[in-house]
Amino acid sequence: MSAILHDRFINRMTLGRWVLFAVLGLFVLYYLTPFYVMTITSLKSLDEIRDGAFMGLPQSVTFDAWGKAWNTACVGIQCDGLKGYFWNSVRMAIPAVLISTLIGAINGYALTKWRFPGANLIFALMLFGCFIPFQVVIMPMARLLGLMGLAGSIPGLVLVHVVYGIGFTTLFFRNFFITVPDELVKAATMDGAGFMTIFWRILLPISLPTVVVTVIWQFTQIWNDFLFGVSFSAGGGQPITVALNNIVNSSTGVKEYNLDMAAAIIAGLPTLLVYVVAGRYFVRGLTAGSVKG
Amino acid sequence: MASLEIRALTKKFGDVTVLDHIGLVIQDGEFLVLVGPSGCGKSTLLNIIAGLESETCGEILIDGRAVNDVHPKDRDIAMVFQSYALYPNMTVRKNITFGLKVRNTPGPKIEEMLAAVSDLLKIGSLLDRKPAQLSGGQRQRVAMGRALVRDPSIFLFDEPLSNLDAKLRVEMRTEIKKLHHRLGTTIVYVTHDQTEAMNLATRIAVLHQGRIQQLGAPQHLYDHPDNLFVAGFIGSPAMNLLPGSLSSSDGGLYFRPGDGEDLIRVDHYPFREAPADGAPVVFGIRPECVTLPREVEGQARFEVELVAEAVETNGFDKHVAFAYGASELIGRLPAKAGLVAGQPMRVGFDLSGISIFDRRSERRL
Repeated sequence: MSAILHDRFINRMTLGRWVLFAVLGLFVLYYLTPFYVMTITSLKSLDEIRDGAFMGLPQSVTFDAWGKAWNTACVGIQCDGLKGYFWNSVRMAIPAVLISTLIGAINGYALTKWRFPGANLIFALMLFGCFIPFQVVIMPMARLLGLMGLAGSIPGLVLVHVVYGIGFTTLFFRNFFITVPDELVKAATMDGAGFMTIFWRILLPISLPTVVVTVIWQFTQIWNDFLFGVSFSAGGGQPITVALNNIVNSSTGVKEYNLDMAAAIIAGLPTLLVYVVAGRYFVRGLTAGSVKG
Repeated sequence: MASLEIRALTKKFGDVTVLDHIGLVIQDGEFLVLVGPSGCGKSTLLNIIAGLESETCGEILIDGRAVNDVHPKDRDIAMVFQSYALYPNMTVRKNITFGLKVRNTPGPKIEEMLAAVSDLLKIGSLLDRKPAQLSGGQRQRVAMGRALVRDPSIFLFDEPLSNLDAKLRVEMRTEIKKLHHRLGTTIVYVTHDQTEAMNLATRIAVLHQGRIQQLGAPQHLYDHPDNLFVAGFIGSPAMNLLPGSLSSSDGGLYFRPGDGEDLIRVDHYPFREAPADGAPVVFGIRPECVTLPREVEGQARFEVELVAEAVETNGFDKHVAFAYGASELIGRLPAKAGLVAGQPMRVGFDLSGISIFDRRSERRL
């Protein structure tokens, strides 16, 4: 009797699984096709691209376009490739991500475990900050950066991204820490630990999934940002997104599709890498606290 | 070890008074249990003693020294929490030694103290596990280990057993009692479970509506509840409380149940002050004093015919619900007593241990 039930269960599962995998496979194709076209185009020679086999694999694989994109592509009038701009983005994104994540964590901790009068108001204002469109803050931000002597510099961009990101990072951490029992903090207080000791030794370690979510979120936002980059930087100090735009949108000379594709992939790789490395924590972190463990 | 004194402690959250002029003196080595229904303020009181919450006014003294402005970590108090509050990212070893490390205790000393505590609580084999890998009872032990290791002068327990299953709860109760005998440390223990309070305490403070209703040894509270709240709260099944009035006739003093003709003689009752004739009172009698007539010894007795409405068997005795006028009366009868639900039977009241309360002030007369 139970064997029959078991078999039926298996059969139903298999049918359901087939449908599920078919649908998922379709989505995967849909999402990967552009990436596939970009990749093969970047590996073709310009002549082959002109021959027109859009979806076909390259007849002879060449990394020339990648080398050119990295080393010698012309961004505006400078022909030094993307490498300088790539490092600009790294120098902007890493400190901005770390600082905003850390501040968000401390904010979330203070707002939930050391509640002070007006804590809710402050949180509400920070939340409000998440909904302010980029465009609105550009003018006042430009003025402020000018006054601080940070205009057109990478530290300036770091500051902009940190300030703009704090709303989100605080929200993430606050929502996690609110699920952590207050007794944990009380126990640590009785044990003799102070504000920062409790944060570093207990609350930050247990919020690792939230840290990962926040880092992915912030890294994606900051690395991919174009508007702040184009507004608050100039010349050789621009992030890679702006440089990519300047390569692809140059209206003089021959349109080098393989170069454009290689440059676009280079610009997108770091975020891809972050998702691949930390992706499994991402879903786990997003759902943390929603299910009682 | 230390004594603890609380003077006129009041705590308000906005307009709500949670604790109202609490006064308590806890002697060195005493096991005081704060018991009361949920929301009576007992956990708040414990948090204030610990320094985790601030008082609105009043004083807390440890060994005669006011500690109102002393930080929790400097009060030499350790606390065991209801949820255990173990640090989930640390092993048992690190959980226990965290407090010592934060206080910069030298390494060898830490090892020594850890070894002593893990021996005492038999958790030596668990030291390298994380809290998530422990059972409820083991977590409870580790939480106690974390409190014990610092060798504090006062222990605070906040409903430490309420997350355990019934069997384990009884086991851990005994362990805590033994531990207290062994260490002799002052303990303040909060619970809503009056059985736990009766079993553990050297003295119990019953808290209700922010006030201490009665403070005393467990047996004293059981035998001489100061007011109706304590009478109803301490003891399981609860004391039978019958409304009625006092009347004197034929030179004797009697209790007359509200709607009945019975006269129960209460001459022997040690009234605190002479009661007025016809005074409205509540007559309290413990279930074990409502039994078969032949079980009642002594002169102070009363017999009546009642109908058993429901019978609960416990193995060693039976709890029987009788209808008595408009009230229900719970009796404890010997397991062997042959009785049938729905049948009238003779029931004896042992009047030697009754309590009588004023119906208006709800205080013991």
